[in-house]
Amino acid sequence: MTAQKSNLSSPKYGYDFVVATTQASINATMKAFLSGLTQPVVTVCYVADFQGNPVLIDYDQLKKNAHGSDPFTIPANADPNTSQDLRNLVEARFMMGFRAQIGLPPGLAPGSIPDIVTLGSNTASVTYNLLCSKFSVVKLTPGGGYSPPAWFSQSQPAGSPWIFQSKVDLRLSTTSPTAYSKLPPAVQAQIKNLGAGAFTVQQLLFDLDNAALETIPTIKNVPPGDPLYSILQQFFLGAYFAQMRQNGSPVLGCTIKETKAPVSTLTLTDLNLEVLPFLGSNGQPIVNPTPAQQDLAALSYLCAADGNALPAAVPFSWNWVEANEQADFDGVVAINRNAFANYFRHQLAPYVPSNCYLPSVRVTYDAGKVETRYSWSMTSGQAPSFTMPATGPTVLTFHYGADSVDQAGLNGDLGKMELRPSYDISVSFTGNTIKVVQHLVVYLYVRSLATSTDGNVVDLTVTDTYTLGIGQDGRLAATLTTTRQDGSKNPSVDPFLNFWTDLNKIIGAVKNWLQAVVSPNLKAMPVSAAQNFVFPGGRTFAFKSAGFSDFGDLISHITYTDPS
Amino acid sequence: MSSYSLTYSTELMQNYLQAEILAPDAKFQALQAQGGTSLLFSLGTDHALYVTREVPKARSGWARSDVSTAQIRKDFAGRTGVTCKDFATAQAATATSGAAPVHLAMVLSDGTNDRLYLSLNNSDSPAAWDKAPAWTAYPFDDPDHPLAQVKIAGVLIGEATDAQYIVADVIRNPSSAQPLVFRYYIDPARAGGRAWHPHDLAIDLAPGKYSSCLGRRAGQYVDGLYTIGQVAGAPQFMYQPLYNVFNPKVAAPPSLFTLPGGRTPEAIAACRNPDNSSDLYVTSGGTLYCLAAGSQQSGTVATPLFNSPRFNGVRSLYAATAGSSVMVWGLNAGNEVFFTTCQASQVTTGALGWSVPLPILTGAEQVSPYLDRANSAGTFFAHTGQNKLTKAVKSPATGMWTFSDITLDPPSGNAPAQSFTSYTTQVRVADTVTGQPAKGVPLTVTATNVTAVRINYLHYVIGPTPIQVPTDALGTVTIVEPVDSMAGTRLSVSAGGTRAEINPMDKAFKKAVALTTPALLTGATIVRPNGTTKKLVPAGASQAALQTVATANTRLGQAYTALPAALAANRLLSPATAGPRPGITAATSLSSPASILVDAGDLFCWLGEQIGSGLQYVVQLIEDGATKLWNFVVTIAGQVYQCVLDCVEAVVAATEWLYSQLKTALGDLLDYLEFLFEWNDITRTKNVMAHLTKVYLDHQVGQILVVKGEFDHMIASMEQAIGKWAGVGGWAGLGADGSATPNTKSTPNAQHSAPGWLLAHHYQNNGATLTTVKPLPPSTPSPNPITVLIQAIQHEGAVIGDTITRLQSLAADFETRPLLDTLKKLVAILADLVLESAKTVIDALFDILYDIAKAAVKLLDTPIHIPVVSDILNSFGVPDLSFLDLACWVAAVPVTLAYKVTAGRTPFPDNADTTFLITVADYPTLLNAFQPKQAAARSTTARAEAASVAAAGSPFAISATTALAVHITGHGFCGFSALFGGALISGFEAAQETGDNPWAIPSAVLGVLGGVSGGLANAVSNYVVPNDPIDNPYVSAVATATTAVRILCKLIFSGPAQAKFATTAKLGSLAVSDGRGVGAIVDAVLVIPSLACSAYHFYELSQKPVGSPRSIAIVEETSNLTNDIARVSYAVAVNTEEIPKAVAVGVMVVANICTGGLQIAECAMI
Repeated sequence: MTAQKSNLSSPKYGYDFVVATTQASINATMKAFLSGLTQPVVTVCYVADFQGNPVLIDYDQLKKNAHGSDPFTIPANADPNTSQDLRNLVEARFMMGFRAQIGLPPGLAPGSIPDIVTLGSNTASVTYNLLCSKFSVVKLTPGGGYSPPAWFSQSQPAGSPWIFQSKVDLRLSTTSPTAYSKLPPAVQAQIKNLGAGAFTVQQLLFDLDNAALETIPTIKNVPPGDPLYSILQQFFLGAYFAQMRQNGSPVLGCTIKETKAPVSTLTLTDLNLEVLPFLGSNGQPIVNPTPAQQDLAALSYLCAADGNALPAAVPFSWNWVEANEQADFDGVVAINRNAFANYFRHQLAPYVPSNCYLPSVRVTYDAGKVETRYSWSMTSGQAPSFTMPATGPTVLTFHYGADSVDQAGLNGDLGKMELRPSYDISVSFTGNTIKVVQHLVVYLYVRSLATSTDGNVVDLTVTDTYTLGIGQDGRLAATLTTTRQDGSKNPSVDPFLNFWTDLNKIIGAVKNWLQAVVSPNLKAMPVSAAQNFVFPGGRTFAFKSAGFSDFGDLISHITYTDPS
Repeated sequence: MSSYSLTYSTELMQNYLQAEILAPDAKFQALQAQGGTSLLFSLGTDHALYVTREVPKARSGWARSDVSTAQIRKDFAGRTGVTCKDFATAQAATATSGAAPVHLAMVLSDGTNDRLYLSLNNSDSPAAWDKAPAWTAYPFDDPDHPLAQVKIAGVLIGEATDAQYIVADVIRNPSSAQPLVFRYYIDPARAGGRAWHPHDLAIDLAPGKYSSCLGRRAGQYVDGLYTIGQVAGAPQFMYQPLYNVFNPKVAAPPSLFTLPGGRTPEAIAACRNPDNSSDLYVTSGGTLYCLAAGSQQSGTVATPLFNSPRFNGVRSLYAATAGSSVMVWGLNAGNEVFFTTCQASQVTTGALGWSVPLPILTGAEQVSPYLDRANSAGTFFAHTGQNKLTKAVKSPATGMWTFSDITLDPPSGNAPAQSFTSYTTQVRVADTVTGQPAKGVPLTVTATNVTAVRINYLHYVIGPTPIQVPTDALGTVTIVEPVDSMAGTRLSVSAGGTRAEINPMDKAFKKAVALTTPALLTGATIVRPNGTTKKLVPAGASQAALQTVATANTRLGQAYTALPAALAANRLLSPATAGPRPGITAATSLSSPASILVDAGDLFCWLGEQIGSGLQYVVQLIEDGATKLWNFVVTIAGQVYQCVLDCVEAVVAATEWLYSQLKTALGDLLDYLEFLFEWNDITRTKNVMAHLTKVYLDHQVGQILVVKGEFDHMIASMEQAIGKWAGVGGWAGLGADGSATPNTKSTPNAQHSAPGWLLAHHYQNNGATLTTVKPLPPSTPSPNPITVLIQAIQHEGAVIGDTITRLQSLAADFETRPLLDTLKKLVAILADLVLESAKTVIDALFDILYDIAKAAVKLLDTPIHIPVVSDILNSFGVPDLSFLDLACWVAAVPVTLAYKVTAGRTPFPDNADTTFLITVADYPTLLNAFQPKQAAARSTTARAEAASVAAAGSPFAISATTALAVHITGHGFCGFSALFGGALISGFEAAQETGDNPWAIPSAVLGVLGGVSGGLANAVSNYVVPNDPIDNPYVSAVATATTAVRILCKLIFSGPAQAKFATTAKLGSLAVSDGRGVGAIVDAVLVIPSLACSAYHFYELSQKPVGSPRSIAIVEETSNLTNDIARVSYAVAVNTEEIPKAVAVGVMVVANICTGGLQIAECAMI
């Protein structure tokens, strides 16, 4: 039930490639990202309009209106009756403000930081915890009538972070009624990044943090009865969140930096996300997963390359990462068997015709000299046919065959010759090897008078085995071993018959010619055929352990590189 | 606080060491233990793990232990073929203060499976654990990745200050054609029930082609591993934390790096910063790159720093910071060890910021870096082509490199010593009040270079950081610095407030640069110790080359003179914070625009390496107009290198490269400059003295019965004489001589020199392991006379014990008490009764003497072997030696050398006189040869025996010159014997619990030699120089007889017969318990008549006119007195215990030194 079972070429799936990582690795990597990066500090302030309703105000403008008083620097125990700063703020009609910065909450050991993502069982409902490295809330009640003025100021305490939890619809499809499909195209393009950063946790965080994809968050770690709770509820999750959602903006201004990456051989042209809960041994999602099993839930990027259509998201019947692999790598990139075979076909294509020969023979009788003349030639560069079997280890075959026959005399009784070359290539994927077998055969038939002989005067088999490795940046690395077998026959007639016909001389001449022409052209496949392939996701991931699944998908284990 | 004076003697000379040189092992690593000593871990060719610990103040300097075999025996009992296949070590690198614990890992293999062992948190005082560190086994225990076969491909231990990190790589698929590495983090606490936690590499690596080093990206919580390697020929290069701090169950996020142009990294080295982060240095194809700790984000391309051919094919690379500098070492494909350094702030400023990396060593096979926190010097250990393990140190103050072997205890006690060229320096500390050697004074030693030396036979590393060494009984500290070139180390020594700056190179350098004309160069001749000669400059040197060197010699001489004798204080101060020399001393005048300015130490080191391979080069010296410093310019293969000669060490080092231009081999240059021993001269001195000693002893043995017959009469007559004198009164006539203290006349350091003490120094330090090659001659004295003697002692016990105690109280401070005071007190002790008691005992002694003296004398001829000393003598053709030879050789060297310095000629040239002295058949014939007419007239009645031999007549007459030589040599031997034998060797002997100790016979033989040589000097003295002997014939006879008896007794009571005299007796405060004690008491009894004679002689002298003869006699008689005091002290020392014993030994040593100094003073009184 591992990635070894990957079968993307099954009609059920059909994605050109899939990038899948575990919930645990996403969380750990997002935390690493946040640990090393400073997100912008968002400061939001509200003043009361003349009806007493909250209205957003620019922070700097507020301070200006309040004669320089800054609500975020006034101590929590300031007395609104005596504090000049608070009086200034009252004059500026200040109601409420908060200041926050996405990041790792302070005061927690790295291993105790709450998870940011819980994938769950449904792509439309991924749990997202917004964590902040800083969060301060201030509220000023001016007082009047029967109530005295009040000043409230509180900050997220060290070691006990406030968590804003929401459900995010991560389905990036426009063909179904997803949250994504309702976004303006510019926002859609930001969320479905098809560039070098497509698979980064930064991008994922950006997507998760988009208010338009989220439900209204719930507040964790703050008791619901607490004044803080109601303030956050009213202003942060109320007024502020609604506005962000309306704009399709990230909550708290999450930003990402575009990265550069090696150019992948397969150009990503469409993608969708899919959550895959951890599957039990029966191939079905575990109903009540343990936290450890939840950690192994995978987020898959279903990808289409080179403008191919992206099939609909369908759950996989295998786990991309098994429990005993969790410490070894974060996930898998799987290249559809057909996509890679197609790539390989294009790599071999320029080379194949050089061994595809069109033969031409002529047999004539020269009455003057009373002798039969044989002439022959072969022209390379012919176009082979190919097949790509849908199943089995052989993923690609090329074939070319042609025939040429000529004769002199009646029914060839003065002489006859046939030359029938054929060239076959078969490419198979097994384990961590690509095997390319070339088979070149030239059949020769020669007749002189009543004596004839025939056989495969050229029968060469070249087997190239590429043992795959993978460079850290996702470039395939291969070592090529080549074996060459020569099954060529030497058809001949016995000396008595040869005395009359000199047939052996003709055979020898043809064979030597063929060997001289054909043999040098039949070379080992260049190692670059395999090495030119670059996996998608370079720079985002480190790659290792490249090999083929049981169904011929090209798999590599991946580990998120340090995003900090 | 006492004040001291310092004198020293220093020479470039051959010295010797008995030690095993540590051969390099299959793999080694070096760490620093507490106190700045080195700690080497190595995997032996026998597949055992060894710890080799530097042991300062120990003899061999290093101690080696096998730390794996015991564990194998324990855990794999009964199995064979279990070996240690790998190990790792680490130590917190930034622990500048406090403890720096040592962590160890080893991999034991039974051939199929490997097992990991750890020994963590060992103290940095390895003496506590280096013989048996506590190992804990950590068998492979990961259930998620079962291995059919556990093959450990590598182990690493991190050296961060905040935690230990242990990483083990296994082969995931050992049977596969393409094996790959799988990585584990080892948790020694086994949290969660297992130690092996899979933390596989995030990338593929082919085994055998990768290397990892621990370090930390800036801002990370835990250490990680930098790894370079390949997969299918493609470069791999990354950093990965040891575990994911946010979730240890998932892989840690790697950071991937590349080199510009996709080059393949060849070697990496992490350089730790104080915050545990690490800068990474990388080499590839001749370029050094860096990834600063703060610039190690995934995707970073390393920054090229600069290019050098040294960076080609680097096999191992190391980097460290020291102070404000960064040092990068390595070993490259050409087996060169290179070194380059830079200010930390200048790392990325290009080639100009870095010192030019020159090959410090070539032919190196392995190298292990080592950061000397004590001296902040660049240090590494290298396995060189000569199959040696060498410790190389770049000295912070001078920039010079020093190289030392790792010396272990010799495989056996008699293993032959190896000779080596050395700067041997002997410092003597004297008390300015007494003028006598100051024992046990801490001498503070600092040095311009950091280098391993032997001080008083013990291993020390000296350098700018001061060390202290106590002086020995003679106030001596001997410092031996092995060198393989002219360049040595300047020393600064101080005691109390007195300091001496010592430049051991001075003599050799001045001799080398004295050849300032082509004629002088071609005329210079090497004389070897055996007398053979060779031209310094091989024939064929061109006139131009000769002129170049001659001119350069003049310039080097100027450069040398212009430099200060001592290093400027700021270059020696606080090296720990200053780090290595910051960059290179600047030159303002380059010899050509293409000149590369390099570090002098590095350049000379490289040249040294290149000379052996026959490299051609041209040397030039130019003076820097601005700094006035001379610059050394050398052109090698078209490239001009220039360095500044800004310290004496550098100037001296430059000299030898000058000479090698003339095709003078370095060995020849050293031979030319070394101190020349001229062993033939020394040999003749030794032969003369050895032969005369035996002639004298044989004669005395023959005289025993004669003396026995006359002794009572002599004593009676002497008592009469003394009785008459007692009526007359004291020694007022001695005047100033009487009020002088003995020490003012004693000159114990007069003949002292480093070469002179070569043999003595090694004897002093190896005498305890002296062995006899053949058994000692048997001695079977008849029991009867022994019983008589012991009864006599017991009978006279009360008087003798009381007298010894009173004499001992007199002995304290005698050397600084006016002579007259001592004499007065002496007379009060020596009543008639005492002399009578002595007579009783001595009478009982004669029968024993007659019985076994002959056999006892034979003891002297017993062949012996003494480590190092025998080897030195063997090396110049002395195949074997006896007790007497040994004593004579050690004395002959200093006495001959001193004689030659004073007299300008050898004491015993190869002539008829010398032949006579070496072959003379008997004592009367000898004395006859010394009987000049005028001298005979002066001494007709002086000595009974002299008169008797005069009648025998002799056809041979010794020349006045030879007689003088015998006189001076005799006093010289006597003085040396008192200093070396009396103060040092007898000091060791007396300090032993019992008489059955290795120093007994050597001490006695030196005593005999001293007695005989002094006696000989006196016997011939009248022929040489008038002196005032004892006029009274009876007193004189008693003096002579007791001297003879005393000498023979020394042999009898120290030899195999000693045990036969064992008895127990109580004599006052003395408790006699063994033969040695009895012998010492007998000797103390013999002191009684001797002192009486001395007191009487002083009386006679007080009546003589002031003048040279009287002065000589006073010195001689004072030396008798001090010698007697030493003997009494010895009797106390060996018959008491603890404090009284120690005090008595101390007094004896001081008395012997005084005696020696007086005897040496007599050498000069001619």
